[in-house]
Amino acid sequence: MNPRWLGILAGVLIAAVDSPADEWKLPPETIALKPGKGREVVLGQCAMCHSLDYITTQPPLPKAGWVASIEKMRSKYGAPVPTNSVALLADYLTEQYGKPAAKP
Amino acid sequence: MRVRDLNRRRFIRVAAGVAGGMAAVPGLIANETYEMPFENGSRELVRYPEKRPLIRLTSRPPQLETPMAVFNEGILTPNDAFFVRYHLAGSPPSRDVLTPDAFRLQVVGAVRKPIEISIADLLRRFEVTEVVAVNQCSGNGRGLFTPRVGGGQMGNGAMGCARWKGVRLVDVLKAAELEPAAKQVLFDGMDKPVTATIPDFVKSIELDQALDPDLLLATEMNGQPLPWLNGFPLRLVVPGHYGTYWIKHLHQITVVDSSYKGYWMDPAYRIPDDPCAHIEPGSKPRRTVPISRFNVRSFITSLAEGVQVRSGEKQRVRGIAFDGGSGIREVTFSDDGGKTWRGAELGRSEGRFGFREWTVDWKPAGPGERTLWAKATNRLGESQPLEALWNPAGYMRNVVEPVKVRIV
Repeated sequence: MNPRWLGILAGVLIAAVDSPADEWKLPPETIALKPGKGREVVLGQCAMCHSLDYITTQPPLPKAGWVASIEKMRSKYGAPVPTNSVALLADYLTEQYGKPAAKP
Repeated sequence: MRVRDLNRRRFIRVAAGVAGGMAAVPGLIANETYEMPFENGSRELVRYPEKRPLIRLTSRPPQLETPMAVFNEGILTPNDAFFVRYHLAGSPPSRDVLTPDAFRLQVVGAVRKPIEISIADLLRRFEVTEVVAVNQCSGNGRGLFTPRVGGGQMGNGAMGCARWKGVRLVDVLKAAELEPAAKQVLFDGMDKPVTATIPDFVKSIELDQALDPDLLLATEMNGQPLPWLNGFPLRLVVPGHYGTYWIKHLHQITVVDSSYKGYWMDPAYRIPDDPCAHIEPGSKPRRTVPISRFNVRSFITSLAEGVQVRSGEKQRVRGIAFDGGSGIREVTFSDDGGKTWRGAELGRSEGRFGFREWTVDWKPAGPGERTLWAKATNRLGESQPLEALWNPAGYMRNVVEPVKVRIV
């Protein structure tokens, strides 16, 4: 598991058991991504800027839809996703949360 | 088109590895879930500060939706049930920067007398007034679009109606003395992006609209200070217009002499330049304009999708209607899927920007399934389509929303 993600997860768990008396605390994130090739890269690249429910609540998008999302994150929001990671991200998202192309 | 509105059908169960990849993190107390009426629509019900458990769409930043049953409680949506929508992961701003000592509103730019003022002084210096107005997310109902579109997958609960109290924007702008070249007014809140590359959430309003006395800088909703997640201590209220303009934690108003081109005005939050914001599903708009006023909507609130009612037992069906500010003229009701319609009785008006309650007597004749429809018309004669309109961003849904009930 990506060390950064471990850190986030630890933070989430600590936040969950920490003083419930603190009324201004936001409840923890509870989303875990499905296992699959590329999952660690998705965790590293996407969870930096937003919670993972931004991914898991989407309708089953075709691969072109996921690619468009990744490109939007890169070009409009300046996400530092390396060019050579785009295909891996798109494949994972399509496989786990999308609409894979119809098999011939 | 799939004409189900399971929005009101509440299947509450414990979240334990439910569909769509939503899995509870081990060791956490599991939240209850709420089923939205579309594919991949399992959501957690989560309690946030000052809120009752609401439908959580996302957690960083928080986006919370109001369960439809709340809208049957009255035309004012309780603060603890009011929806929450943020864009930037650094939201909401920490409580420390929002305290009376720390927080200041600035009015700067093309003005002769820039202002920097505390909330207490703002309320002392300017006349305090109120408006009852609906706030609604541009993408309210996006999850119900067919074909589906990407973006926040909400049911119809990203709306609410409150009594907003504050000072008029026009009074504050006049006190700052606008330069003759003033063209637009920009609004920025204290919620900030997590990286410098992400555009800050800034919205622009044309000057003539900004001078409309309906626009408020609000400090209270429903007689209480704004909840933290609804913009404490100050938010812009733009009655009749989509929530994207209702900047929360508003701390800077900048008057400019040009047209603002920021990301959240263009390309974000734009609709096809067409009277209905509608294009052929799957196609791309040729020209777009910024989203602005609400279209007409109505909902049945007293009967949830899938409920059983007794044949021959007369009941009062109730609901809400609203529009972009001309006011609701008429609501009609159909219990035969739109073959015949009859007029509903409108409740007391709380002003042209609020939810308007409507009621109608109904005697179910059964047994069998019946589809109930409510359709509103505003004072301009605008109404709701029976077939859903479509645009690629999933904005401005206003189709007549059916409620299927079972008569026994």
